[in-house]
Amino acid sequence: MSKLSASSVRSSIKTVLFESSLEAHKQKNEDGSLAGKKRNFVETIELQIGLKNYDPQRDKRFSGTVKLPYVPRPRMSLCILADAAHVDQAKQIDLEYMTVEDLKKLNKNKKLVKKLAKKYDAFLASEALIKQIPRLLGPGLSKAGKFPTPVSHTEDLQKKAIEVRSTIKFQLKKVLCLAVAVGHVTMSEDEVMSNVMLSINFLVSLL
Amino acid sequence: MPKSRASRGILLTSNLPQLQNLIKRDPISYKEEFLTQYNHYLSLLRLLQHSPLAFSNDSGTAGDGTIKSSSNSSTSNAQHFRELLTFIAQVAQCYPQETKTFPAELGDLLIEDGKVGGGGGSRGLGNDTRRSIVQNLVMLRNKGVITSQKLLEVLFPLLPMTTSPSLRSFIKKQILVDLRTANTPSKNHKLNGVVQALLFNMVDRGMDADVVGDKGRYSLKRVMSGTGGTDMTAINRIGQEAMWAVSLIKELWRKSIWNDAKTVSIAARATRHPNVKVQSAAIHFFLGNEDDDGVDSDEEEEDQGPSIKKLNHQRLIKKKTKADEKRFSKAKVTANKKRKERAENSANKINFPALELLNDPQRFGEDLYENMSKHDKQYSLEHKVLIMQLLSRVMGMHKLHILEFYGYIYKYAIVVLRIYLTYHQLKVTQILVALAQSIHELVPPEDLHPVVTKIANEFVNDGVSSEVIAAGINAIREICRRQPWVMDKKRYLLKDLTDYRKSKDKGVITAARGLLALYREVAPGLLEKRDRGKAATMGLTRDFEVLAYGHTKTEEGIEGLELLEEHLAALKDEDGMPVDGEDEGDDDEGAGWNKWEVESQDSDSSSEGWQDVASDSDGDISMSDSDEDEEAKAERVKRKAARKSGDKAAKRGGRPTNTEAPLYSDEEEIDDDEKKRKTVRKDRAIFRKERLAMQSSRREKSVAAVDTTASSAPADEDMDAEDEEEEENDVEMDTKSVVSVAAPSVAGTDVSEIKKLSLLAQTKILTPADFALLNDLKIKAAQATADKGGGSAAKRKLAVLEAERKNRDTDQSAFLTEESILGPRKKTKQDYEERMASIQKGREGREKFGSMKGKKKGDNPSSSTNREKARNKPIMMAVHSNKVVQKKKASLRDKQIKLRAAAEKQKKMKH
Repeated sequence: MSKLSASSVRSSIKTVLFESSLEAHKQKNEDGSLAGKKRNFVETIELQIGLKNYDPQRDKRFSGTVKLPYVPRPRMSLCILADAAHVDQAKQIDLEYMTVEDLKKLNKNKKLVKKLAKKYDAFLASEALIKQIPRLLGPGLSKAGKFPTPVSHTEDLQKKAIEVRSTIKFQLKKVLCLAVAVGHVTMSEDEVMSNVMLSINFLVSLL
Repeated sequence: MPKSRASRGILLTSNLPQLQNLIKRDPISYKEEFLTQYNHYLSLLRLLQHSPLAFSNDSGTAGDGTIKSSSNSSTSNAQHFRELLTFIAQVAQCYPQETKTFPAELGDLLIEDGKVGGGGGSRGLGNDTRRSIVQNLVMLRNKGVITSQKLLEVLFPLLPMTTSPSLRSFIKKQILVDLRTANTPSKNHKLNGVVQALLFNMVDRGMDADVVGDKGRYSLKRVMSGTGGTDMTAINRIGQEAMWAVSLIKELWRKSIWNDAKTVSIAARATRHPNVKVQSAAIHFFLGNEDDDGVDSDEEEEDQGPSIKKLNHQRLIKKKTKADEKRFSKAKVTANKKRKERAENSANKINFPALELLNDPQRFGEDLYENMSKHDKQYSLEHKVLIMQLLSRVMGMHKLHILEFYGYIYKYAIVVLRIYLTYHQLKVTQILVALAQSIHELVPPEDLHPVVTKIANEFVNDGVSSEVIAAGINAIREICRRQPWVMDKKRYLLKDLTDYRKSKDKGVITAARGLLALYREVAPGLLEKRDRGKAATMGLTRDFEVLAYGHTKTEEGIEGLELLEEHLAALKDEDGMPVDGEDEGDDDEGAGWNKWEVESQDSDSSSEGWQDVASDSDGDISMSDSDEDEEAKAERVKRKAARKSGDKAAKRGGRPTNTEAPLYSDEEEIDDDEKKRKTVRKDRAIFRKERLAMQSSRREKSVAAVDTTASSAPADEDMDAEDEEEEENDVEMDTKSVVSVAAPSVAGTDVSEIKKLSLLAQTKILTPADFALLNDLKIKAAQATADKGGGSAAKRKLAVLEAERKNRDTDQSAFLTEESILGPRKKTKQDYEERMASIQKGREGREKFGSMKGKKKGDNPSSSTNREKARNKPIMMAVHSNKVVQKKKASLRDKQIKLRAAAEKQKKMKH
């Protein structure tokens, strides 16, 4: 841990951002290859961590979620499983929604639920509904790791959506590496930097 | 058996070992002789293939004389065949071309033999021949003639076929050894894949058979002993094959030769095998027996090399020689190497528990449940409890939703209670354990209502004994620990249960108190107001309370980081003077300051200088001990942080960096050496100061931590924060947005606090030393709340933190045990039988108490005692004796005293 310094993090972020920048697509390296390649999407920056000398059987299992200061995935697709009040709010802010009737139509059909889980990156649910979710949908959502986050009527839906989008989760599963999206290339260097640092520090605090 | 040494030729044909020796020295010239032997082998083989029973009866126990001669010849044949096999296997590597088919022939022979023999006792080959073939195959593999894959392909199908237990264990050992050697330096994925496929097929082959339970009409036992006929042997064999596969997997897993998901998937498949024994073996694989884990009782565990301790001792005693010295130093080197290797191996081992590696836990759980509920009638209670245990662990660990399971338990609870009556002889507690384990925070509370009510009704009422009540309350407590909202709509039930703390039985009291304490911590709102306790009413348990269903705790930053921040601020205050801020660079670059462009370059170069210097100074201070080096490094980083914050504060406080400005200019002019010296000096000074500060603060804090953190620090904080905000105004928008993102949740001065702590975590990589410090601070804070009366939760948190500081090994076993449901139990009073039994036990092996006279010495009586003699003496002889005269002369009072004493004695003697 002490080996990693803030300056090295910063320099590598600089490289990443540079290689996806417009100049890099024109600039050539010494060997004639382009310094960066133009992509037709906004590249996501992912933090990949390999744990060493960690025995998952002996050491404690960790899992934690942390809210990053900047939204790492602004285009994360969300869906709210909404009651009547939330349907209206969702319409206002162009958030996709499903009502209880829609869910009942799925009829616990595994394939349909799986399709639903695949369609969105994360789910929200009205607080009144959340308890019925396992009954309505079966295990499909939690199997996909997308169990909805509850929203109460007092909370601002927009804010909640941003919060969900900027929340990342660290959990060790099957392999000793963790990968989590912490930013994208249109963010500024400092924004990426603080996201990365906070994630690293948080992860270490969990261990 | 060399007959004569006259002719070399005779010698050669009869003496295979000698020929073998010669061939190994000079394969080319002895080719002819080898081919003769090989042809001999081939003819014997053909004979065998033609009539498989040719070599049987090698045990030589033929019944009547008519076959005796033939059996004798077959015995010698078999023996000769074995000798030939060994011979050819030994020299096979010299003639690879000629013996190309040899291993395959051996393999075929074994497998064909197994098939012909079937399940019956008499087989074509004798046990000895079979064993010798296996041994030769192993030898061929060791010599590299065949691959271990080929060998295993032969050995695996052989395993369930063999009837001889010694051969079986030999084969099993060979398989394990072979797999281990193949995997020692690094995993041999190719071989593992092939072998795993083999094992998977062994398990898979019997999957479509009908389930044979261990209870009822079609139970395994009945089928085995009954007149089942052919299908019975088929079932048996299928089961055996799968059983071997599972046991091999178990062994390989235990030795962590295999620890990947594929292995687990084979075992997962085996949990649905129609044979109950296979199922239970596979379930045990997942449950993992604790006593199994620790003991690695392997004789053939790789040799540790010569023991250093022993050699050391020998060196002290024996005469010292040069050779001895050399041997000793060599042994030392190898031992060191081995230790290093072992440490490396253990470090690199990825050691996931089997349950975590399941491919599709939900599916696995559903299958388990289906298997259990579908064959409810066929499985015995033990087996069902076993399945329940595994199912519940999977459910709890992976947070599965198998809501039918709760319904099943609900139903089951009735059945069990009606049929099996007494609670301690059946597995009710284990079922309760399974139920509690299977619950996690994502189980909808409504689905648990029926089963919890059921437990409360059946276990917790006045009609049953106190142990049952205790078990019931404990079970409910464990359920509630995992999903406290069960009681949300059942507050009357909660009150009922917690009121049992006024009971008279200790177990019940403990259980009820446990439940109460739990709710005081996690959801005091569900308790009646007077039950909530001091801490909850004061609102001190806020941190421990569980969130509503479906909510997950999202951290805004790192827990307790504000404490670290405060501490650093305090350190700065005690330092009293602003220190140089060369490392300011990366911190304030974050603020996007344009004019820093120049200075940051500066700072880069100087920070490089810093690193050099620091390593030098380390060399000065510590004797290049690696640990200390690490510590020193950590300390250095911490110091940097302190300096950084100090510097920031200095700027904030309106003091411009005039103290540093000359420093900078100086440093640019002064040459490197001087700079080094200077920085070293500074470094040490700071180090000393900081240590002092740390000590003093530690001493003070233990007492005054509460006050400083509560009152004075916040005040400072506020001032700082205000200043910072002022400064922040001319910083770019980026940091603004930090504030705005962090801000909305909290208001007022807290805003700046949150922003600050998140900034620390965002700008600096915290070192292990920082985390250690943080933990210390957290302990202090926890101590403070505990002293203030934060309740048991605060105390527990404190204990956890302290344990963490000690050895970071705080996790209790993740799974629930039966004891926690049973609770502490008072020892019950013995009944008559038990009492008598214990009395009898005490009497065992001791002589009877009582007078020695007449009982023990009855057979050989000894002479009478003086007392006896005196008693029997005629009175006339004793009347003038002093003793009697004195009695007569005694005063009335004395006589009375004596009389009373005598009466007393008489009385006592009656008892």
